[in-house]
Amino acid sequence: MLDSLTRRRLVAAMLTLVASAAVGVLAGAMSGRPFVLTATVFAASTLAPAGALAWLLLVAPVTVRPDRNAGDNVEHRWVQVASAGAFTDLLVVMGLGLAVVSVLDVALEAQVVLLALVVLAMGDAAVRYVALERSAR
Amino acid sequence: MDNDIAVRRAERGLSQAQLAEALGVSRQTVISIEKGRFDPSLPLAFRLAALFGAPIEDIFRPDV
Repeated sequence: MLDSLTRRRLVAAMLTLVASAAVGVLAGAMSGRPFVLTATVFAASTLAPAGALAWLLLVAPVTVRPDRNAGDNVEHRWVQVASAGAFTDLLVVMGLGLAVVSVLDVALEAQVVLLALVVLAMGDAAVRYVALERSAR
Repeated sequence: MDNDIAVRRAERGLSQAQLAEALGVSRQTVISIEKGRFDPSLPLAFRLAALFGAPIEDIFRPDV
């Protein structure tokens, strides 16, 4: 007989696989490109975030204790400072990019632009956090 | 803000990790506060004051 935590982990793993497969099939059917290749790429790409989401919704509630003092930690401050800095950088990049694209009258693909902005925002925040952490040593 | 937490902690024979656990924060938080690189929240300052049995203004001094 499986205990409650193991059951939650199994359900999370199954949901992860089902969600990834569903996204893969949907993308493969809608894209117009080779079905198997597209479905595989999308399913593989969705695996990690779907797994994280399933863990967050099903496993974390019983394995992670809420920290009442989380906001008192210096790490919390670093996250706030890094996020605010990344947001400012993102605004500057988007503003300058918009100006350049408008002047040159260039049409960019939305997928590429959004991907670049997501990578920039996440990378910027991560680098800023690490810099703050190192400066505190 | 300047503070004498490191001295008070040493007087009580506490390590940074022990103080952090008593306060319910990370060890890095204690390190940063002792170095004066992180000003604690008001609730954390009150917990520090209660733990050391001293008023907040005795523990922390504003930078001049």
